[in-house]
Amino acid sequence: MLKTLYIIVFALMSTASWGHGGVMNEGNECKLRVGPYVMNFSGYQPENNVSKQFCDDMPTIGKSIIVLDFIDNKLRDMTVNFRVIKAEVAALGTADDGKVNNAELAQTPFFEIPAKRYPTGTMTITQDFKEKGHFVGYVVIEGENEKFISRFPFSVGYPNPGIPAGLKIPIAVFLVIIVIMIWLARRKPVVLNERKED
Amino acid sequence: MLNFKKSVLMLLAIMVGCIALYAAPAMAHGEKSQAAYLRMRTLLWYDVEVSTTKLKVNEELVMTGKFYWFYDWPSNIAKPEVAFLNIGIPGPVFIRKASYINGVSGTNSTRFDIGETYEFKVILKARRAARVHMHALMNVKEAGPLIGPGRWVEVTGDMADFTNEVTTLTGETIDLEHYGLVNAVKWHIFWGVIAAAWLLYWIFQGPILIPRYKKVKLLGDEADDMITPANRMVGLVMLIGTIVVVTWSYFNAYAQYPVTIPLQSGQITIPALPDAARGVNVEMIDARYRVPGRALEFTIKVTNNTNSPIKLGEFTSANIRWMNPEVSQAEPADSHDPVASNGMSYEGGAVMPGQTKLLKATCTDAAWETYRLAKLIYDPDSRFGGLIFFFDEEGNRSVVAIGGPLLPVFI
Repeated sequence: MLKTLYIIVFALMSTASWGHGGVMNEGNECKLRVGPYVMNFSGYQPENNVSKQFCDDMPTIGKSIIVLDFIDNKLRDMTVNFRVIKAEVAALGTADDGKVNNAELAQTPFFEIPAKRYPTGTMTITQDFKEKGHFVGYVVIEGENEKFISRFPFSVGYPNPGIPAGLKIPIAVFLVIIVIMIWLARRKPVVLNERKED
Repeated sequence: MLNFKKSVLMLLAIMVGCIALYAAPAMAHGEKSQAAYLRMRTLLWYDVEVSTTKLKVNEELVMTGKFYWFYDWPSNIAKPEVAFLNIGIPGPVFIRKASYINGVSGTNSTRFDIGETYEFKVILKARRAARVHMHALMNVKEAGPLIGPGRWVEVTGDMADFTNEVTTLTGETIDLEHYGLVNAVKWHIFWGVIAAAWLLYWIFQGPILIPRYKKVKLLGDEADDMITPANRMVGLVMLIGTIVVVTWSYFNAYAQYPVTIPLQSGQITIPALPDAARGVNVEMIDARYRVPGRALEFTIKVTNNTNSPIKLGEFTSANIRWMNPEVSQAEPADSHDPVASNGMSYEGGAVMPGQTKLLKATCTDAAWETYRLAKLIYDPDSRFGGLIFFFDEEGNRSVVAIGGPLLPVFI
């Protein structure tokens, strides 16, 4: 039983922050890191999941909208190029997901938004994914004397079967409380020392 | 092998440790963490300026600006019956020399009227070297701090050079930075020693804490016998000694400082500024938030009762400004000043004197998302608020509050 308890607690606690390459789910925000700069990453599928917001992976095929909101204002003065390349495998969930592959980058993209400045700080990408599959996204930003590339693998049409990230910590806390309650219920009541008669 | 009890305690300790290690250092002071409706529908700040962004220890900085108490005040937020104007800075980098609201001293707490505009001025003096993001803020009783725009300010120099001299009622010049410090330390040490001695004395008088509790239970009505005559004598000496010291120190302080005034904790009411709308009436027709486009779109019916044609130049809310560069221009004051220099556009052109006209405006910027204002659409009532600025040909400005339900649009 103890081993099971250890496994549950550690498994649930280890997911406070997770990511696929450059895209990181930090707390309740999905962020894309490109070199020293940060953007908010938001995915929408208005036809299937109207008000739901996704972080890189899109659960169903169909019309999808990706919005990048620049947190660092300096990005507004730089060009941003967004390209998506088809991949054979899903994200590995390791540091390799974020490693830029020049050969991959040189491939003809599945779709691409050419480099352009976005003075309002928002880049909106609309794409109709007709088939499910695995992809690799690249965001290339370029300023006067600097250039940074971010890589993030993602999948379309593969719903996440796991426990939603936002529920994992509350479930872990709930389980610990249950264990403590069981422990308290099984305790023997405290008996005060009886006064000895002389 | 570990038993069950130890295992549970170990797991709890590991969880607490993980949570403590996971906690990242806080780099901001909460301006984005407040709910969107709170920032948009309570206190709306504008024209906030600082006299300088670089100064040395002992130099003064003046922050000025205006604030408007939004007419559609959220029902779950306490109204500003008791409020105090302040400045939010991480640490005592400055001291506040004076503050004024509509020219009246802001020493006391103040009652404000919903739907009215006030202007403020706060004079600060640099105390120690630091680079800080400072905000104007209003503390409202039972509502908490309502945060205004922030500015990065850098103070250089040595804190050892700082002086805060004031002249007392009796004409004596004192430095508040050090005044009474030795006396305060002396009295703290004195009472600390007394308290430690009292504690130590009782630690060595038989069992303490749980064992003592058990013994009291065991003895029942005879528990008082645990206190010996010697204990009672020590307690009596301590009681009389404390009363004598407190009484002597009170009369000694009174003899040294016979002329004093109490701490100022009164409350005043300050009249509001004249209506900043200057004869421009606005009625909200509808408003939508385009989610993927990060754009607020609203249609308003504007009636111009002034003598000049007016154009829409700016929308501001939650300390973010959307500028229409064809009418009014502004650039961010620093790297963290959210100004969308090209963020606003509108259809409908100028509104002539005496004319009533529909205007359709769009305010676009990533700030809707990065400053978490878009979370508004998940509120039960999804109402927004803000100020719009009209300008006539001579640059005169009319400031009008707008607000209402906001409909999210995803396509």
